[in-house]
Amino acid sequence: MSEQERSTIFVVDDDRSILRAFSRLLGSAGYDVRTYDTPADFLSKHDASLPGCALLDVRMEEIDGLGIQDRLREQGSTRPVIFVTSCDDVKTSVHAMKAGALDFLSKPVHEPILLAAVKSAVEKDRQARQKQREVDELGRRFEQLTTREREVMDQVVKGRLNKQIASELAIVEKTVKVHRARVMEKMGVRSLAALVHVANRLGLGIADFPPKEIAEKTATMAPKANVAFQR
Amino acid sequence: MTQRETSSQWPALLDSAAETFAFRFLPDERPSHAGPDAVRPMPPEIPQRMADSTRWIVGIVAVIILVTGAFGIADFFFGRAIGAWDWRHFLIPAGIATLLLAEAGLITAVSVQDVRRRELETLLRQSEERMALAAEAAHLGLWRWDARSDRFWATDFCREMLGIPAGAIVSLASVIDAVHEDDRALVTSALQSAIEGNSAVSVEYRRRTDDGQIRWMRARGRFKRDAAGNVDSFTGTIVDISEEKSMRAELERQQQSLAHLTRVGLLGELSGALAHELNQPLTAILSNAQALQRMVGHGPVDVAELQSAIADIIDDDSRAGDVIRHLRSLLRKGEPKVEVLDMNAILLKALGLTRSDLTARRVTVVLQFEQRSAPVMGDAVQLLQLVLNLILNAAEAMSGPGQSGGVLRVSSDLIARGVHFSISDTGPGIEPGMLSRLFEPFVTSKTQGLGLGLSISRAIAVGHSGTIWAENNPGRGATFHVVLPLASKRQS
Repeated sequence: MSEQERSTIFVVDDDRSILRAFSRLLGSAGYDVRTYDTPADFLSKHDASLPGCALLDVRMEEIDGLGIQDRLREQGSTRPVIFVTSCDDVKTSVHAMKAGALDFLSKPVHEPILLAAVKSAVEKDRQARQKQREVDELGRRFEQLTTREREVMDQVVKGRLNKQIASELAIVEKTVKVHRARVMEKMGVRSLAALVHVANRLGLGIADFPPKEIAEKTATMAPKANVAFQR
Repeated sequence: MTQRETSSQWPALLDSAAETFAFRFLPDERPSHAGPDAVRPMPPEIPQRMADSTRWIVGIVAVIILVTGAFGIADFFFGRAIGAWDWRHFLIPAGIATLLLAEAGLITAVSVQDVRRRELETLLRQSEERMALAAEAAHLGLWRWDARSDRFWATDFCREMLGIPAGAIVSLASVIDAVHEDDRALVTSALQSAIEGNSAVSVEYRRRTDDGQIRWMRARGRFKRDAAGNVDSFTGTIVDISEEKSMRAELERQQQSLAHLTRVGLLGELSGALAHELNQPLTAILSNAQALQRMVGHGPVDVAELQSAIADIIDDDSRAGDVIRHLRSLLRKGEPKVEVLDMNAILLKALGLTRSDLTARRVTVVLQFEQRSAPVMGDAVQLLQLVLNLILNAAEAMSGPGQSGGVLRVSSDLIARGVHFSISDTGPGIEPGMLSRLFEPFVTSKTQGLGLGLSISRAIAVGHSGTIWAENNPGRGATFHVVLPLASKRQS
């Protein structure tokens, strides 16, 4: 924990003594803790940039009323939320899951269960942030592409051959090859498959995947089909 | 006993019997006579008095007759013999004859009086028998104590009730001796204060029968004074109220069971809220304890932090203990305990128990206490039940179909009649037709529930010498008002 960035746990409970106890316990487990009396207070002061998860004791009616998940999404946060409640009936837990709970704990919560839930939520948040960072990085790289390079990349990930791209964009095939190499370099990938994956993560929709041409080519190729993608 | 005794007791008996039956024909506090008019054609002493004077007259006249007659006879015979007789001497026998006639007349008059007296006595005896019969039918014993002779007279039924053997002559002291030792002081002090205050006595006491049973008696009576102001007699009635007492006790017991049952039902309604109230401190305690465990287990210990965690554990534990205590008090089926209580504290306690329930129903609570404390005399559990009933009713009214929360206004103030508190909601209010029947048992507008809540609430309020009523608010919702007598400083 200490080597990594410290995670913050956002604890929401209308009971001050619970807030103190949870922050003590989570603090002793190495987390930063922020406490809030009400869900509304939490939502208004929520800092989405901090890694970590939220631990909420709220009435299900309040979850409905506030739409915690929606409100967090509005803030651009995918913060995992663990619900803690006194009423551990089926109805309530279904309710909580529908409201987007990552986990659902009933009070009193034993330390191993609480810490395990928090740990997995924090891990989930970490992964999400990691992924987000990667996407951000890719986006940043994509921004560096010139218009022509973007056009070439678009054609490439659709599985067009260099010849096809050249005729489509009315440039010579050699120029296509140069652009293509630049795209691969700027996007930090070394294979077509990797580029397609990147495009996919960037949400540059691929209309037909795998592209018809590739699919045909694969069918006519020897068993070592994957090699064909290497350029 | 003689007829004379009976007749002289008659008006007094009628007095107290009338008092008992509350047959008051006259508005003033002197009871009028309840019996038929024939019972009192004239004061009962008068025939006797007349007969006495007549006897004297008859006696004197008889002596005069004997003396004058003797003179007349001697004159008739001896006057003729010595020649001194005269016609005028006939005046003497004529006088004798007149006197004899007068005597006959007087004797007749006396015998007529006597017949009249006998008739009256018969009438009196009959009406006494009727009265005794009526009294007996009403399970009423009639008695009289004469101060001068210290004789305690009682009807047969009364003797039977008091366990006095027929024919036995008893004094007031022996009647008081028969009172249960625990109640004897009560009876004597009641008698004492009646003598001093010149007022009527009404006292309930226990009497141990010869076979060891305890009977409850209610005695009522009044002291009579003679012209000099000394106590002359003490008359009254007595009733065996053992059945009434046991019925009342049974009724109270049933009422308590019912109140207990509805309390248990109330807890059912509150179970979710109570689980929450218990879970909160338990969660805090557990987390604090486990945090402590971690702190002690890992690295240097921050003593201040340890201390504050321990203090929190102690606080939360007592919080959980309070919830359990309230639960137990509501679940317990005990005798009501009367003590001086602060109504505001009870209102707060009830709000504490229903807090999470109210939050769930999105009810906002507004508190309005005019005085810092509102002292009442009563049973804490019953009053809590009363308030819980009203709060839960109000909360339910505000979370029915088409309702989404509301405002629960809880207020208390001191008014002339005592402590007044009210619980007001912003629900749909009470149907006008229901308003008058609201506190009757089994009247309910809910789909669930027996309709006992408010009838129990009223029983509790009335049991505390208080009142409860409901009204619709000018705007939305309804308000329930309760007034309980203010606990005096002396009681506290």
